[in-house]
Amino acid sequence: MSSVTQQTIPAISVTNLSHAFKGHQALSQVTFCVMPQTLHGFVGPNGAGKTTTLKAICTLLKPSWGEIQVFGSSVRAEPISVRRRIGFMPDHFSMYRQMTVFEYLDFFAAAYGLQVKQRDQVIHDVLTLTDMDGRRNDLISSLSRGMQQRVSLARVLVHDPDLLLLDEPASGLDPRARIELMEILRELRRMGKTVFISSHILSELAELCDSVTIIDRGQVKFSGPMDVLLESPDELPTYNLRLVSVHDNVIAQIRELPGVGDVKEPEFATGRDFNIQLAPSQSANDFLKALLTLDLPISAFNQQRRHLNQAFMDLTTRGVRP
Amino acid sequence: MSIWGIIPELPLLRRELTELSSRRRTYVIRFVGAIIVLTAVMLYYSYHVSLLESNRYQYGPGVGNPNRFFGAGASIFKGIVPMLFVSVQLLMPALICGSITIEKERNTIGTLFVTRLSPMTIVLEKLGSRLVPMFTFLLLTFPVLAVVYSLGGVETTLLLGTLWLLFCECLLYASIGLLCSSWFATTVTAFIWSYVLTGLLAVFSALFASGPIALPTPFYLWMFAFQGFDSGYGNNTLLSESSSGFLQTLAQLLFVAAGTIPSLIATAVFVLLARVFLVRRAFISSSSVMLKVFKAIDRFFIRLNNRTTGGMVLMKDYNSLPLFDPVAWRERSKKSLGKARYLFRILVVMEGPTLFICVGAATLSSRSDFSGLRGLLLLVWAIAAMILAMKGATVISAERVRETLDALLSTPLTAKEILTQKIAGMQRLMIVLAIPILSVHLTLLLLHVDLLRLPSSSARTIFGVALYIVGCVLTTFLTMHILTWLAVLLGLRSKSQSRSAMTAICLIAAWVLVTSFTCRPGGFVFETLSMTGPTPQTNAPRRGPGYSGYNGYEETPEGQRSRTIAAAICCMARPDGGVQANESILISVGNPYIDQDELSYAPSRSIASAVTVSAVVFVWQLVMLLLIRATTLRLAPRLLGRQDQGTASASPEAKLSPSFPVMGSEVIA
Repeated sequence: MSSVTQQTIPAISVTNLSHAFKGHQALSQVTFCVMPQTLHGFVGPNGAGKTTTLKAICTLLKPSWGEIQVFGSSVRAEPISVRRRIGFMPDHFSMYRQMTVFEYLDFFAAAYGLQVKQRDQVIHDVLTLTDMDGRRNDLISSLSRGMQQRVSLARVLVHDPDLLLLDEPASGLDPRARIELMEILRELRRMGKTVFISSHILSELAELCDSVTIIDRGQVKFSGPMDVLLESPDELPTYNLRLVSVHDNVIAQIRELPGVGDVKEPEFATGRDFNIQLAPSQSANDFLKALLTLDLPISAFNQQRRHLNQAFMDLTTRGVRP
Repeated sequence: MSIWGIIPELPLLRRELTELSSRRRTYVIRFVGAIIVLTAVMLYYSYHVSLLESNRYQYGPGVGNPNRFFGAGASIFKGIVPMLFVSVQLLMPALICGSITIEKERNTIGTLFVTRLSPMTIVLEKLGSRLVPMFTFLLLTFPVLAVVYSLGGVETTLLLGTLWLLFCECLLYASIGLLCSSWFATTVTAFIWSYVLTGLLAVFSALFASGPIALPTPFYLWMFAFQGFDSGYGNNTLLSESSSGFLQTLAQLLFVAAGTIPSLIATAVFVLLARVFLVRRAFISSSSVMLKVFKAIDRFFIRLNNRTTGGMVLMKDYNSLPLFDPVAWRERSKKSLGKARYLFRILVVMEGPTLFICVGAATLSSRSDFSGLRGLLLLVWAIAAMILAMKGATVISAERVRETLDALLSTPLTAKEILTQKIAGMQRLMIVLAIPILSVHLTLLLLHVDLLRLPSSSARTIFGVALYIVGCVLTTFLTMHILTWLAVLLGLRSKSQSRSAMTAICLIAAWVLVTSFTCRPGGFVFETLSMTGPTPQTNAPRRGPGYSGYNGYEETPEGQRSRTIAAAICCMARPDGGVQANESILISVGNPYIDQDELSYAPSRSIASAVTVSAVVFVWQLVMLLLIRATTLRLAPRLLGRQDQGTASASPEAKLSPSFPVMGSEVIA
């Protein structure tokens, strides 16, 4: 298969996925798509159905209804071949504590059917990538949680999968370990891997991910590029202006400029920040030109975007799922 | 102030009882337990009544007169009460072993410590919460005891003394279980050690009952006071004289109460130790205790070696890595019951005493009494079955509890491969457990047959001996595999190690007990199946060369055939049927001086019958093993929550769930 064709086949394609546990509907017609070589975030409140979806994708759960394909292979029809192409890291990275790091990785290399002569090199490579090569002979029980998490990530990479499914990989990690993990994930994307990451840490996902799926109460609320989510399609374009210093009638001056809808001082502001709403027909370029004619001491000017937190709060429902 | 204000609030006890009452399992266990205890009590009651009836028929007046049972209550009561004591010994450890470990497993013990509850209060409330279900079990038998009491003859001393001693028995064994629960990190370990300690206490108190260093457990105090050890019912007992007056009754009760002081002190010590360990061992790691012990032994030997030889090592540890069977490799090289070095230690611990007893039996016992060796065989089989059941039941649940299962299941290894590799990793353990069993079989063979004269023996004898040896080896491993696969099947779905281990052990124990009771020679099933055929031959010799029949019965061809069929069916029903069938072969070629009661299932001394039974049982066990194995492997993907084989069509319509009727048409469209 040519690389062009490979690019067009989604890494994950979930269609009308539904699942119920003892009468409780965990997933209802979940549909989304993840393109290859992207970092896709999967977010939702607790109990939204994230882990159920992940388990269904990695063949650990037989869904009641729906279809999942991984690189064009049906999870239902070809589970073994799907397993060979994915690396799944559960939300708990409990490990065989009585093994050394090398034994642990060798165990999974054997489980994935790697040849004995290949394994040494592969393990060396994944340990180098995760910066754990110096601890290869340490017992897993002697490692810190952050290190165990790195070994767990190395385990996922040991058979060189095309798709990584990571369920809450940063939970319980300190800030440094979390930042380092994000760096490793970026590196993996550069290496051409598709990373599907479920997380609660929205700020990091916003920086990291190319696309995102938001799920709530078993239903997909949004799935698509991160940029699209962070734009506010229903609202007028808003820009943030920061001045070095202000005088009394600055708001009135800005309001008089063409195409300006409204000017507000944001909450908890220092008095030098203003939110300027433009008319839909007004371009930012024309407005900026007009603003410069006022000869104000401008410190910063940028488009206001919704934060992922805000998007998440808008899309998900308050309260506990019944 | 209200009277209720005086009563302490006991929040932990209340929570425990509320939890117990909200679990369906509580009622199922209570119902099953009640059925078992009441059935045993009723069976004994009816047996005793029938015995009394036949005695009165032969020796006394009043046939058909219900008054003939008056005064018989005491003997029936004394027959039933030991069952209650044994029930306490069997049930109490299971009830209490998880009381504290469950808090450790759920990580809720820290939460308890930060409340105003003191450690002693926690221990006592935990104790109380498990005593209440035990008392409800015992209460279930009280209606039967009331009927017995109404027959007359049960002295007040006997009744009150029994109740007090039962209470003390509950306290003693509950405190042992509580101590184990406080010491160990997991319920499974606490469960095993509670039963080991309970068993040791029961065995030692029985062994030293009449000796100078008697262990006065409440049960043996009851036997000593009311039953008598050396003779039959009512004879030679300490309190056999009827208590006519209030003062005499009081004095006797005080004597019983004084006798329980050592057991009460022991209870108090165990509870205090439980309180100490509750705090000290609250947050211990749940890694294998046995592995820790073995590693400590390793360190000791390394230090000793360094000191004596300067650290010379003749055979270095071979540090292997998995080749193509990683799961089996892990079972063999990373588990305490998998490493060859550790298994050798277990073998020494098991085989040493077994050989000692075998040699003792071979040199000291008569040539016709093998009950001691059969008891030993039963014991080593019980140990082997318990270890295999526990290990088999927890192969998956242990991964599930330690949250390592998902990572394993996401590999391309199929559920079938994972399970077969897990079992393959247990092969060494099975060999180690089989060696003591086969040692006992070998001793039995040596006692039955003179192997030095075997070359000059008849072809029939040589064939029988060869068949016995082959049969023993095959049936031992076959039975072990059956038990292991059955335990694996039972433990596949379970989310907790303790539940899976207990389910497997209890089910296998129930299978053994029920079939041993109903299918034993003389039991209901065996006797029903072999009713046709034999006619009594009262003058036939009971043993020796002139002996020709079974249990004093002359054998007719029809009788022999029906007995062969009965023996085959009964052996097929029993988990140890293969062992029993092999014994028939040995008896058919072996010692002619063997007591006829020892013949067990041997239909006769005809080797043809014995071989037929043995072959039928062997084939049946093989089929049973294949069936259990196939069922386990077939159900494994579903019970593990994944699919290993692709469905014929990727179309979801075949998977349409009844709960989503609308979606079908949408997607098909």
